[in-house]
Amino acid sequence: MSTVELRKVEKRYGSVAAVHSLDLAIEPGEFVTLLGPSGCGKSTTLRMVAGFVQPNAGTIEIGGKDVTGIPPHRREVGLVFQNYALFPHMSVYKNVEFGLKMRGVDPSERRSRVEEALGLVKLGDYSERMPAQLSGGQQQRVALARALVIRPNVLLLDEPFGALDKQLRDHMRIELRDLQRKLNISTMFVTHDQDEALSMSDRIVVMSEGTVCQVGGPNAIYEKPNSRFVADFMGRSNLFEARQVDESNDARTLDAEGLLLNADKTQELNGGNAIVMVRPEKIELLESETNRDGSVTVGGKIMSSVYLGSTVQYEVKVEDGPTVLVVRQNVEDGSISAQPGSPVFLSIPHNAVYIIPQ
Amino acid sequence: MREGYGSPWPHRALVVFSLLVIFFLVAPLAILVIQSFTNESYLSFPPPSFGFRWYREVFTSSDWRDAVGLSVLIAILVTPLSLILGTLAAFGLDRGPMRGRQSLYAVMISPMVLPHIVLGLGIFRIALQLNIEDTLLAFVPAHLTITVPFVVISVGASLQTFNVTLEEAAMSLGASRWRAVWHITLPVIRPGLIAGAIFSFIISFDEFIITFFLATYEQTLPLEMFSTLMFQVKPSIAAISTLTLAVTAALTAMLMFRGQILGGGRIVK
Amino acid sequence: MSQTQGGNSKAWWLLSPGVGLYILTFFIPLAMLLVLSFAKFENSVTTIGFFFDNYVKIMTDGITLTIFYRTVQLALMITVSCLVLGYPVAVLMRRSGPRARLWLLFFIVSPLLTSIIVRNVAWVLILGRSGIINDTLIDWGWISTPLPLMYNTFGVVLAVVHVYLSFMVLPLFGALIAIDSSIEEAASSLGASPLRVFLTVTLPLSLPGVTAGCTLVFILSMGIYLTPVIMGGNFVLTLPMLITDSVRNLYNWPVASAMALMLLAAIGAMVLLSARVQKMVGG
Repeated sequence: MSTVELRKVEKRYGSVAAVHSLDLAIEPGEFVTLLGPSGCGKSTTLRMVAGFVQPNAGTIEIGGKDVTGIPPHRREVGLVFQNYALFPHMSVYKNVEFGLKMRGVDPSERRSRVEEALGLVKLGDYSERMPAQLSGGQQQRVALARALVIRPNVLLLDEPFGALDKQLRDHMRIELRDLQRKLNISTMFVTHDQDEALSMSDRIVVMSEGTVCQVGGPNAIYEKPNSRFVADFMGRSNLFEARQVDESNDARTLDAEGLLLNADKTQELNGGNAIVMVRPEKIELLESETNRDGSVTVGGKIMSSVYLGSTVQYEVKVEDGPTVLVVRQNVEDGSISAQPGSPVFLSIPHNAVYIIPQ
Repeated sequence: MREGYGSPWPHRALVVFSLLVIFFLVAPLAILVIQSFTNESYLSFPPPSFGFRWYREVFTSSDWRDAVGLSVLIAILVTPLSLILGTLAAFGLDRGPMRGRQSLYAVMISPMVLPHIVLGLGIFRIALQLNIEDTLLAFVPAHLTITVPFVVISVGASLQTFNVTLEEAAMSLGASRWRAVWHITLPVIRPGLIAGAIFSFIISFDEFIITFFLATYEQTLPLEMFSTLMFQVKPSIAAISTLTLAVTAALTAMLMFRGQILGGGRIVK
Repeated sequence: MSQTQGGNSKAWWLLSPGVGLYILTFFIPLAMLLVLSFAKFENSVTTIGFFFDNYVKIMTDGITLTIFYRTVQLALMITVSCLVLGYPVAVLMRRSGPRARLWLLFFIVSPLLTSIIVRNVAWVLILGRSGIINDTLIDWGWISTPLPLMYNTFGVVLAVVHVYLSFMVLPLFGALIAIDSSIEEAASSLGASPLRVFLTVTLPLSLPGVTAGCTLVFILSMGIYLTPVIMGGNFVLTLPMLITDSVRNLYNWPVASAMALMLLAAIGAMVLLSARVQKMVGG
């Protein structure tokens, strides 16, 4: 039985569909991320699960119980907001205790559960502080403790790291994920940040304009996007219009806007044309022409290079072909003196060429 | 003092002028307070001898006691009612659709822009029609009409800065809408509620012209002061004025220095 | 997120208690005054109908119109006095540090919440025939008979200004504090003297506040009853006094209603005028 199940859920504002016929299930203990640009319907979906937004059609089940039409306070969900929404007039302790009080849990049990929850987020010593006296990261943890203490069926996180600076965000990601695994709590996480989605999720649901584009593990979503939109949204990619020009036993040769690529034949090609994706970090940048098995090597000229610290990003214009983005780990001493204008060679492995299904 | 405002003498002139204006505002009241402590049977400044003679007179006179009693009674009835009506309206405006909000807000504060003389005239008329003039049934709704707009404004301002996700957080934690409002929203907007209550109390307590129309035998404190003043200027009037002043000044100071008026901190920062 | 901006129209039901009150104490009474103003009043009998008698009477009896003009005159004097006294204070408030500003604000705002009648009592004790000023001057032998400081326009204006000054200073301060001081700094860096900076930058930019303050004080001053009665005796008559007298002593509701509507019309005209001016000065 899934913890959360949405069936044909639909939400319209006037004539605009914010969420269109959405099906989604979250399994027990699973960490599912709704990912998409703003306005894609991910927050609306979360708010429908929380009960703040009523769907126009479809049903929502939580813990095997149909909750469609049931108000938020009877849904047993734990919600963490982007701005934390800590009650400013209550101490950390009172904040965490609030949900238990509303449920009529008796005082002695309340005490032990609040202490347990604060212990989980390592804020045991802060229970008498007021929210305003806490740092952003601490407030975030209080919000988490407050949502977890009621032992909800599902934890809902609405861009919870949006207000934190980058370092803290990276740290909180790991902490949250560890905690989620430890408690084995089903989690729905909403974000527009693909790094967050990739690093934390069991499954990612990519959404656009109110519909689900693709559902899958981080690996599948990144390596095998099912549409140009997903490929584009999930990190940097080279996308080319291509058509097949030759075919052998195990490979297809594709003309990608003037660049000849070999792709594994296991990939279907519907009709003669396709869009192919090559992730920039899978292309090798060479100073001299070196032929490798299973790769094509083409010559080109560096148009620009951007130094990003751990990586360097190049734009290479292929002779009589497109401009290709290449990302190279900054592993050497940075001595590839790839100045704009200098000639280089690109080595593109077969298995790096991915044909996006139409 | 900030720099860059030119030569010091215009600035000094500005300071002197402003101090004179403040003297103009404060001195009469200070003189009133001092005179109220005279021990003589007449008013003079400075009083030849000091004492509480006229305060004793005020506290023992049944006329003054009745007037103060009625004014306090009305204000005590008006304040919670005003707070309830105004807060409900402020919530309705805050949570209702955007469309039409402006015009409804205008309706809710409209009694403020009408001269009280016209309002008093109109209310007197309907009170006559209903045969309730000179009773609490007329005084309380009449006062409410001029106090509710102040509550709508002060609570409305608080609600505007209130983050609605706090209420949603409470609801996700198991509180119904009403419990969320009771436990979270109302405590957070308390400054606005206190401001609204103090405004309501003071405005009702000081109200003159509308009550003047409605009252014939009943006398509120401002009415009693007015008729006493028309008859004779005695030290007792200074004493009762000082008492009134003390109450309103204390309430005003409470408002000001807790930063509830004019967005307090924001403007003063 | 966009979900919250929609709002729930059911929430408007929360307005109903307040609106219900207003219907009884505000809208119906106003409507009754409107109807009454077109009624006929003959031999102490009021006949409801559609007559212009009351309006004709107040326009032609020579007294009402004169008193109306006097009321306007009085309101203008009060408005100008408030502006002259209030503007410098508002300027100082803007220039002050936070502490001084809070104190200035306290002295300016507290009158809003202090009983008008208490303030009038204070002035009676100072300006009256045997008030402090006259007593002192006679004691010192400077004068032999009391100066007429009260029971005239001067006394009324003084006492009303004392009450309404706050209503002038607050909008002025609001407009002044909204001026970005870097604009003034820019002007002076371009070589303008402090006086020129004030005249060419600060003053024009504060005009919306001037308009708002003047409108407010003028409207309030048109409705004064208490202070003219206490400070003016029967020597300073205002339209509100006439209205009160018509109802309380003459029981002539139709004429009082017509006068009340005349007052409202004047105030309405002022509001429209102010909106025009506000547009011109770029408020």
